[in-house]
Amino acid sequence: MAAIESLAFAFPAYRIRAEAYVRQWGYFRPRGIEEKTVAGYDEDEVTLAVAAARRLPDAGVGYLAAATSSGEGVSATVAAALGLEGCRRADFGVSTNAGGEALLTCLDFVDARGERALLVVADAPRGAPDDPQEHGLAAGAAALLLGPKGGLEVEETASATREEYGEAFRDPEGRWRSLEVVDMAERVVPRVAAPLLERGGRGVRVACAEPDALFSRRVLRGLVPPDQLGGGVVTRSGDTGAASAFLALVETVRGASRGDRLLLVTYGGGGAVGVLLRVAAKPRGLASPLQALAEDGTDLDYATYARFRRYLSTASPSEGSMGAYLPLPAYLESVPARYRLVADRCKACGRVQFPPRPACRSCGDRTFEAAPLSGQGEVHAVTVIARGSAPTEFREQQDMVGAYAVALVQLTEGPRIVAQVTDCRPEEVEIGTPVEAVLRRVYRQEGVVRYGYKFRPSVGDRGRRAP
Amino acid sequence: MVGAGQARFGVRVEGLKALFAEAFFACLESVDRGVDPRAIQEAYVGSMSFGGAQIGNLAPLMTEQVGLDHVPTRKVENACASSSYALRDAWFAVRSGLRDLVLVAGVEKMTDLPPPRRGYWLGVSGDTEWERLAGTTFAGLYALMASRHMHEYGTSREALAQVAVKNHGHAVHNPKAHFRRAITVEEVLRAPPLASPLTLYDSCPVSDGATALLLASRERAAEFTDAPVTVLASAAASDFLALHDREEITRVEGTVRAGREAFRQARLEPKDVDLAELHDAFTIGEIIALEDLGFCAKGQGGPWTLEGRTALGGDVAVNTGGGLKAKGHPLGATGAGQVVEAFRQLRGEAEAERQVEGAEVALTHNVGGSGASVAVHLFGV
Repeated sequence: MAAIESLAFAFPAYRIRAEAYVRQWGYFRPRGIEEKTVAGYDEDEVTLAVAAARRLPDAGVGYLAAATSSGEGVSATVAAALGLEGCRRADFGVSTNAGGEALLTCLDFVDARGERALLVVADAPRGAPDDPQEHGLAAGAAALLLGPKGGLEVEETASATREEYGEAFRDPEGRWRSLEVVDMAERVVPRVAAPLLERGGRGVRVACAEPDALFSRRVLRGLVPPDQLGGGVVTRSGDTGAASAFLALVETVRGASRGDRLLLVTYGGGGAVGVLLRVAAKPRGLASPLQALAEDGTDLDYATYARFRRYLSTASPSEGSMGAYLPLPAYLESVPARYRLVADRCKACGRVQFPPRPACRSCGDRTFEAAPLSGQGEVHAVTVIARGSAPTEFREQQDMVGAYAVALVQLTEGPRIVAQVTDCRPEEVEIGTPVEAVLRRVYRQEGVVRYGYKFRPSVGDRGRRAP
Repeated sequence: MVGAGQARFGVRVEGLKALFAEAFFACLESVDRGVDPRAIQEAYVGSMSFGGAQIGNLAPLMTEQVGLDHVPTRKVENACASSSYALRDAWFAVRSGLRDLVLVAGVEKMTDLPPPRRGYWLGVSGDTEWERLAGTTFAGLYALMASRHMHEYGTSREALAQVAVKNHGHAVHNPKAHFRRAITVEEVLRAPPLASPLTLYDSCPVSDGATALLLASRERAAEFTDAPVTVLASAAASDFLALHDREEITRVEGTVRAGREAFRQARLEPKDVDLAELHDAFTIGEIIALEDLGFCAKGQGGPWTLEGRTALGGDVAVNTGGGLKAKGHPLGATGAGQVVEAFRQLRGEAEAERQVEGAEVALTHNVGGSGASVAVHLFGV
């Protein structure tokens, strides 16, 4: 059977604590959650998925499965951002069980083909601001590299499904709601967990989906002693939707030893998936989501949170209609440059040019080979675009987020590029600040979200937070 | 040059046609011996067609307003450097001998758009694909240049502010200027921020305006005036549109090359120049131009300004009409507007409070966008 070779995760840079909700609403409904992650204005499931996947070691994959609980497909952009062209890809969505379903198909692929597969599970579920259901909703992503051989061997899998109505669903605006009268989880999860726990024997540690701090204990009552429930990431991350089980898995693997057995359980929409794993070898250099959440992150107050989440925005969906007009075909031709900073290296003289241009500036030759840049650089010049001063297509971003820094970045390979600096207060950016490229939402025009590079102050490879 | 005139720059109720006519007739009036407009052989109209009200065929629409029926004409566009390139093209025509009386004009209507539209049009002269989609504004690009200039040479915000203060001081005495109010360094520093380190008062305004020049051959000049202003040199150069493609963003290579060529053509040096119209779309622009044109050493633009060496009575009087900052910046009309100032100063016809005593050589420096196109002209009497 297949195995998990390596795992990685990504969180946004922002947090909000339960106290901020209490100050705003008088209460914070989820129990056992101290704080949660907040997607930045320019982040979403796509950018988080890419951030997590880029933490994995480079490896050729034949299949990309992208899972999120929303209905929007993310695999096309994720594949383009990772430079995957010849591989199969599939989107799994609709419910928070999407990651489990996707994982099963990845394992089947690996078994059938003997090739590697890449699973990304990313989520940034949206709610209505006046709905207590919204309180716990957060953002996060995990990425798994699967192959015929690896440190976490898959021993057995199980799945179950039942019809469910009203347990969790998205309203016409894409916000999660619940009628709070149906609870299929307690009936469905044991159907996958019980047989796998029996097969696994004593001491199986469980990494279960964590919409809140009580869920796993509740749905596995009587099957798993509380001290064998791993994860606990939710106390600091909040409800990361489809990604929660996988973030719990990363945390659980960190605490496991060789020979241990682990059970991954996902749930959503009346369906559950269980995967029994044996730790043949612990993947090296695995970071801890809980530690990452504890050490990094910028706390927001509720008003700022509401602006980031676009709760206070009344802009029409065609934001940026008087913005800079770059036609879609032109934007699409530049995707390798915008997503992966692919530069051109002149075949005649070796000069590296970015962004691409038709002829080499040094020698005039017109043949090039692709030269992806590392994304590392330092600030050569910087300015803070003040409130009210942004180009029209960034007006709403500025109204919601405030002044932002724009830097002329000196990339280590030689070229320079102008870009926004994100994930920090604009005054923190100075000439000389080391920065690194990240994929973010740039703007929306004609109803289409366009992604591209921005830069953030380098976090390096401390192993605590993914790019 | 036998005639030069302009419409008053500022927020005007008049549209393109009326502004163009105002400038044209002011130009005719400046011709000492008068001129029959029907004798004009060719017309070059600089404009960005800001706002998009009249993009195609703007030039013939303008010239027909003032009776230049059937005169061959064209729009010349290089963003904010449009009308100085129009002058250049006219100069080529006259120097070639194929024309001996041509009109150079500039016109721009900018204040009649709602903010989102205006914001769009203010950003079309930079590199859209890579610079603008990074969220920069026109101010942002010049701010990046200022950021680096301050880092490398220690240029202070006070030096930048002094450029604005000086130019406003000149415009107080220029009835054709957009702003005629003196300001202080404090006001500049405290003004609303645009893109750090630049504030609102480091930036030129959005203005309506029009300008017109009459260029004649040397042989025909006497028909029109005893005191023509000679075009001693016309030079121009381009630079990479995007800042990230330039070697150094603390200099505008186009200015360096055009300036060098202009001085070579005229066989003059910076120290021969009595007054200079430098492109101060943003205050940092004037400081960098001082250096790039060779008036002072690299990095000395700030100190020169603070020491008053660019004020009336200094080494070179810069922007005696108020510059773009105070006189205004109706994009396509600005370049020719600088020439109007040079024309009047060299003929001793400027308002007494801002007349450069004994002015004999004037320089105009006009830049498109953040430096992609630059034109430098030298004039003399």
